[in-house]
Amino acid sequence: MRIKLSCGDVEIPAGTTAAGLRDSHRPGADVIVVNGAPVTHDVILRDGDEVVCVSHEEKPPACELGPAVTARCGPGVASRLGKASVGIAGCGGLGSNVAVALARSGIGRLVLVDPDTVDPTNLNRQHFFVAHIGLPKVEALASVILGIHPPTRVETFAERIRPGGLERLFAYCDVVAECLDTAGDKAFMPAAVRAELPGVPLVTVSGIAGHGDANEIVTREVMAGVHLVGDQRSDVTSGVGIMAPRVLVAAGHQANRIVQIILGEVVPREKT
Amino acid sequence: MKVVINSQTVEVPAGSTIESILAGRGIALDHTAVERNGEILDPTMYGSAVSEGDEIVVVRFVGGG
Repeated sequence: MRIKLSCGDVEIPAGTTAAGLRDSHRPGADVIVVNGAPVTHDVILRDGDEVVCVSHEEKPPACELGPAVTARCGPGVASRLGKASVGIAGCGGLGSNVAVALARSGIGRLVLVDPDTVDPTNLNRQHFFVAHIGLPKVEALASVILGIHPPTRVETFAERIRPGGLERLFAYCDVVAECLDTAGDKAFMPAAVRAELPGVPLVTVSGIAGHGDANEIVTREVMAGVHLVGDQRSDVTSGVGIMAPRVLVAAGHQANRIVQIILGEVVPREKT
Repeated sequence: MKVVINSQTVEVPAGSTIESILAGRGIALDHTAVERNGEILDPTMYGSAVSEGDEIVVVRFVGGG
């Protein structure tokens, strides 16, 4: 019988239990995760099961760290996401949080594009820290990702995204996330992605400002291959701020739709 | 002439363009993405005339990221 144990496949005798495997592989491990769920009562393992054993106080060896980080993603999920590549167009409130969510999910490759450096006003919603102030956002975000899920490969481009430049920046990306600031920049992305990256889905965002009802933020495929997150209304204007709670809701929608797209689970296009 | 905009059938004058339709609705062209009959239009196409029965999707973007 063959199971997937952290770094690779192993042969085990039929009837081996999760605790038995733990005792032979990592004695004293505190947590056994089988097929995405922590085991609370010992179970007999079955062919094809995915098992990760970790200790609370011990950093796993390098080859086991990635599987340990993604153990709770569920069977087969991280291994499929690990083969996928996502372009992050803009690394501010949306992009930084989408990138982190995807890294936590075991994404294989991220292409980070943003021309800006981290400033203190970013820290209300963007996944950066005081120590990052003054650094290029793409570099700061790359270090954050490395600190969460080292197997994710990160490519960085500290430059502004313009129509005509997408093919070079986002080569080999399976999906592109539009995480730009201004309405004008957001608006050029659907046509630019369609022209320069044919067949690559775009997950874009409009309407996340303020602190209105978070349940108004939804995801819909509004054009073929263009998935729109947001309430389509809440604009950043004088008197209306932009805050972590709604930005993270939207970034979560974006990251989840990207996961669905990669896993082939996207519902058919809905009419607007 | 009838066209479908965001799933609503609407009457527009003959010779209408994407640009004239959006302008008539007070929609800023540079904050908008437009799909016509399944094709996402480059903004340079907004001046081309629409045809009877065209299915048009208009997405208006607001800022924030």
